[in-house]
Amino acid sequence: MDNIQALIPQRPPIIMVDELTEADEEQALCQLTVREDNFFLQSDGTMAETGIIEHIAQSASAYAGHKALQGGAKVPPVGYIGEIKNFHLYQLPKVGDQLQTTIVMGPEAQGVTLLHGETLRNGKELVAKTQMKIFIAQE
Amino acid sequence: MMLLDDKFYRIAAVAKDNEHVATYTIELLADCTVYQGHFPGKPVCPGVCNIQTIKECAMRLLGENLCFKTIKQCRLTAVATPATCPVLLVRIQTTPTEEGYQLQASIYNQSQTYMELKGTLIKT
Repeated sequence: MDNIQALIPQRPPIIMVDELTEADEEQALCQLTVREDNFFLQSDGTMAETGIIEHIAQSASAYAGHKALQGGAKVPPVGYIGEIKNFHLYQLPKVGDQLQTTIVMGPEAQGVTLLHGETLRNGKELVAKTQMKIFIAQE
Repeated sequence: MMLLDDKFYRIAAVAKDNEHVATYTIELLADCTVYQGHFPGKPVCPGVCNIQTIKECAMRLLGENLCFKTIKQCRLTAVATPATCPVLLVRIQTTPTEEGYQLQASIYNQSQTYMELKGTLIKT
């Protein structure tokens, strides 16, 4: 789909999503390949769990950006994580792994959106899941 | 594993209550490369870097390599930036469990609280 930098406000070295691959009204799918130069890569070749959280947040940001551009906005909105709830880690991804994250967006109220994110590794193994509240900044 | 010490933050002081509870004073490093991308021309501490900083303070206190197994709740109550809050306190309270530790932590200064976190850490 669109170039990822058109959908999110983050720039290197902290771009944590490669592509928004699917999006409809209720949910979206994003992916990220874990590379050597990833900001959250640890010395043993795994990506830190905080990197997974950022990947889920940026997947939600890409989805929100996609919706905003479809709605006629020129630039994607800046979103901040307001709260993380019930994050569970199942395994840490490694260099070369492809992460696929499904974002299910809940209703928005006063600029706050509650979403669910679930990340798989290489199409099958569960890596992590979480709920998150995101604030969209009103520019 | 330490990812952000002397990169995103520097430890300036530590006050230990006991072997499981301590308060770290950290300085945010404005020249960290993360601010080139978060966000261009508008440096804001990524919330996940604050979470990673909490974990690294807990690892330093406990002398073990740790990883979040769960985060029951983490509230990001204010936006931190190296310009507006260059010095922060990181309060770490841990309780040993079979797998690792229960953790309660917060990041704050004299004027406000930036983050409150409850979770569990496992040994890696």
